[in-house]
Amino acid sequence: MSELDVGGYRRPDNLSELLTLLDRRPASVLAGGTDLVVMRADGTVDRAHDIVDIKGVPDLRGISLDADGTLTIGAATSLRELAKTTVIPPNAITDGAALVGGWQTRARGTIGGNICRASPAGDTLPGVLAADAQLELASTTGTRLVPGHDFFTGPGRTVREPDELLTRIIVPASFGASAYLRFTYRLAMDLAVVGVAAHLEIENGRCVAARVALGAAAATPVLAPDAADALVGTELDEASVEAAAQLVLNTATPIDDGRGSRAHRRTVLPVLAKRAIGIALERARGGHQR
Amino acid sequence: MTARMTLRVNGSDHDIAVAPDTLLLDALRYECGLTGAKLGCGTGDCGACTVTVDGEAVNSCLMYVLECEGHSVETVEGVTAGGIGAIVAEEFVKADAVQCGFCSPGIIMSTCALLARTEPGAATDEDIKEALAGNLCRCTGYLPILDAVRRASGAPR
Repeated sequence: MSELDVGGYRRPDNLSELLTLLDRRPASVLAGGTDLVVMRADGTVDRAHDIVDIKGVPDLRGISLDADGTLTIGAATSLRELAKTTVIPPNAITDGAALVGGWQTRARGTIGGNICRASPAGDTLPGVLAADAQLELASTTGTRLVPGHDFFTGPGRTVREPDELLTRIIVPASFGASAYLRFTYRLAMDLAVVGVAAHLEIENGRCVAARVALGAAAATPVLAPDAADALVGTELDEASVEAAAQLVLNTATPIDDGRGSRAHRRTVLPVLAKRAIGIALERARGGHQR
Repeated sequence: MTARMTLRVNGSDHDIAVAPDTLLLDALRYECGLTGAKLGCGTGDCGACTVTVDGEAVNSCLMYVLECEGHSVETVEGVTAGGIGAIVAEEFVKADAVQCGFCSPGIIMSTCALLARTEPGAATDEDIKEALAGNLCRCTGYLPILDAVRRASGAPR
C-alpha cells in the first residue's frame, strides 16, 4: 500500500491489493473521477464508501496489440490517450473517446469509467458493442469475461458486482473497420442526442459481417441486428446502406427528454446510421488493418 | 477523517490538512490562498477551475486533492508570473479578451497547456478550439479570445 493510505481514500499500487480492498467493504472505484466526484458530491453515490483510487496500478493502463491482432485496452486508460493513439487506426471506440466532454475531461476520464458509468448516451459504448469487445471483470475469487452487449442492464447499471473491477477491454482481431457518429447541438461538452457505431468486414467487395450499435436510443446501448443483417451479403452500394440504415428503427426505443423528443431521435437515427456506415466503409476500403 | 499531505503548487510545497472528498479546487483556494481558479459549475462543464497537473489541463472541481500527492500543480498565479504565461495574459488584455474575467484564469491555463504541447506558431484554429472547448465564456465572446491565443501562439518561447 502506498503512503497515501489515509482513512477513506486508498491508492493501492497493485491489482491484488486493489481487489482485496473492493472485497473488504463498499468502495467507490475512482479512476478519472469526472463522473464519480460529482456523483459523490450530489449523493448519487454514498459518500460513506471508501474511495479506492485505481490510478496507481500500472496493469490497468495502456493500449496494446497482440501478434494475433487482439487489442487490449486497460480500463484506466484515459480517453485522451485512446483518442490520440497510433497503436490502432481510428475506429468506433476511438471516435467515441474523442467526443467525450472537452479536453480537460478527456485528460482525466477513462474508458473503463465511461463503460461502468453506463450512461445510455456514453460515447464509447456503441463502439464497444460494434467491436464485439469482451469486458474483463476481476475480483479476489477470479476473472470473468462479459461480452459488451451483455454488460449493460439499464441506465447506470451493469452486471459488474460491487467487489468486481473492470480491468481490460478486449477487442478481437478483425479485418474490418468501424466508425462512431453522434448527433449533438454543440460539438463539445454535450451528450449524444443519439449515436451510432458501425462495424463492417468486406471480402471481395462484399460485406461478410456487420454490426451496428445505437447510443441514447434505448435504456442501454444496443445492437441493431436487423440493420446489420441487411448489410451482410450486399456490395454496400448506396441503396443497400440506405435500406439497412432505416432498419435501426426496428431496435431503437428512444425516450422523450430534455435533449430530444422520441420522434426527433427516430428521424435522426437512420441518417446517422447511414453516415456511420459510410465512414466505416471508407475506412475499410482504405485498408484499415487490424 | 482528515490527513496531512504535501501539495506542490507553482513550484512550492504546501503542507495542508485534507479530507478524502476535499477537491483540488478547494485546497488551492482555501488552504493555499490561490484564488485564481474559480468555482463555476462544479460539474466539469464550464472550465473556470482549470489548472494543470503535470502539465495537463484538468478541472480542479473534478479532482480530489489527495490524487495530486506526488504530482505538480500549476495555477494561473504560477504560469503568468513569467515566460509564455505572462505573454498569454498580456495578449488577452491587448485583444480585449477579458470582460468580467471570471473565465479568464481557466482559459489562460488551457491556453498555456496547449502552447506547451505545440511548437511556436503551429497551433491551428482547430487545435485552439479543441483545447478551449471545455472553457465557457458568457460575456466576452470567443473571437477576441481566439485572437489572443493565436497571437500568443506565434510568440517565441
